[in-house]
Amino acid sequence: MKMYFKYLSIQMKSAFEYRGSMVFSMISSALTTVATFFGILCLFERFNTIGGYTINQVLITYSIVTFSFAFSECFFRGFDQFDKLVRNGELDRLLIRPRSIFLQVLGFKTEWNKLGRMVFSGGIIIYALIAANIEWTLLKAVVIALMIVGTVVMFAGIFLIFSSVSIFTVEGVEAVNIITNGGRDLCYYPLDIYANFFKKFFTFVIPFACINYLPLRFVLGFENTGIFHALSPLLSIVFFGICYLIFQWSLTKYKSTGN
Amino acid sequence: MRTFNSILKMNLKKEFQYRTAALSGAITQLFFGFMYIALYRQFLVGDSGDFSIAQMASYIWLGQIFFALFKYFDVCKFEISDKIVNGDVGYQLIRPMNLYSYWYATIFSKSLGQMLIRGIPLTLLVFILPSGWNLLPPVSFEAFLLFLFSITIGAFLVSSINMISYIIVLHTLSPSGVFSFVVAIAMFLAGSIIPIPMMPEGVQAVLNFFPFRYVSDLPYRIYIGNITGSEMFIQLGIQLAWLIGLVVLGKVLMNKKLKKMVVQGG
Repeated sequence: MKMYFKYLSIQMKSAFEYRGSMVFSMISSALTTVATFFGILCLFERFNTIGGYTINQVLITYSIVTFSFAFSECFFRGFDQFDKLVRNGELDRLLIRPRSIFLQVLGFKTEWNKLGRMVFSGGIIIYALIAANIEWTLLKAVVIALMIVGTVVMFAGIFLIFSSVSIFTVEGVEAVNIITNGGRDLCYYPLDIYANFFKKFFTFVIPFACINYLPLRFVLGFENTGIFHALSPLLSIVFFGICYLIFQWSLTKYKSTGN
Repeated sequence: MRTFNSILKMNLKKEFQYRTAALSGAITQLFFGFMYIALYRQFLVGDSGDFSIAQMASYIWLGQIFFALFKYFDVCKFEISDKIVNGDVGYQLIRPMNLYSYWYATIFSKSLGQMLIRGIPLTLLVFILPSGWNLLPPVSFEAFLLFLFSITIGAFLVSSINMISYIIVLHTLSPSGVFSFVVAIAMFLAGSIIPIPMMPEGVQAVLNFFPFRYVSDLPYRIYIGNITGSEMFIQLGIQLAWLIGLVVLGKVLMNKKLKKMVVQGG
């Protein structure tokens, strides 16, 4: 853990060496989120509700998934670009060091410009939680926190799986975007508005539902929700555990590409 | 013109080498298409506007098919922006070619190649999807011809916009900064975040003042029959005017820059 913070401080120092360019890229990365946010505002300006949810309720899922995805992209960037490590043989260097691979890749690269997105979507989280007229209880606050953490953990797990895939394919696969960016875009809205096919895929194959509409319905006080809905974000930890095991297993199958 | 043709041919051949990458790209496009249609259906159900669910599905699929043609990010990273940053652009300058035309042809042919190789299989596939989810045939033969005309102008128009981004890179020497900025703005103004016919009237009126709408939104809407008659011909005129204006602007800006350009090493 101490070593990870050491890595982080090195990354931070090197990134903020060019302060002007860093600030500019933070702003332009936030701009993409501003554009999608504005898109949602436009849609609700014309159509008012979707599948029984109002705009402020949708903004809760939108802001939580944008925030957490940006967070994972920022701190788990090393896994997102794992295929590069495999391709240019840099993984070999990491493997001969007497420290865990997970930790080293984690500290390998951090994408600070995503902080811009985190700040912007963090603001929307606060706005949406106030504007959605929720009758707060302590448990509901905990559930919101679990949703945020659970989403981060889930995307981290997804990045881990694709790192394992790239050990075998060597190259990055574009279709991976379906699950990462596609998963994020899908979770902008509560998943239960979609056709059944989508809902099932993203409930059972990759359990996005448990950080999305299940806990949201509990927080909003919908009928037929209970403790199962409230605690469903915890499932993401199980998901991450499975991904971690797959990652460790795939490392044992690693064949160097040489350099 | 001959140079343009040979650059086009060369780049098309090059793009057709990456078949697995294209397949992977087509699958991604297919998924995103389904996702957007699933989402916008929920908005349009019970809405009695002039944009039906079937039209929306066709609009989305056209967007996915032509996705690679109409993108505003660094399409020619290897061919142009890397060379600006490392100074190799000097070699391009000593060739007996106009740099503007050379870059223009490279951008145009590269995006066209990427679009064709993934777009053709995707088109065949999305035609045979169940109704309400599929790409409909064009509303009329006449509309189809005008769609072809308009999408060709659109392809040239997007290249002339990207040219201006690259000319800005000549000044700032920071491709990632310039393009992430342009992409965020262009995505919204071009209707790739939400379809323009689904936006509030006021926002649509504002978008009419920018060139991005005329690149892709106009040809798609001619295809689905959402823009017709004299309105359509006026907009086609505006599209052409943007193309001419932006090419002239790009050439002027580039010549001005090249006169006092300093290539740092190489």
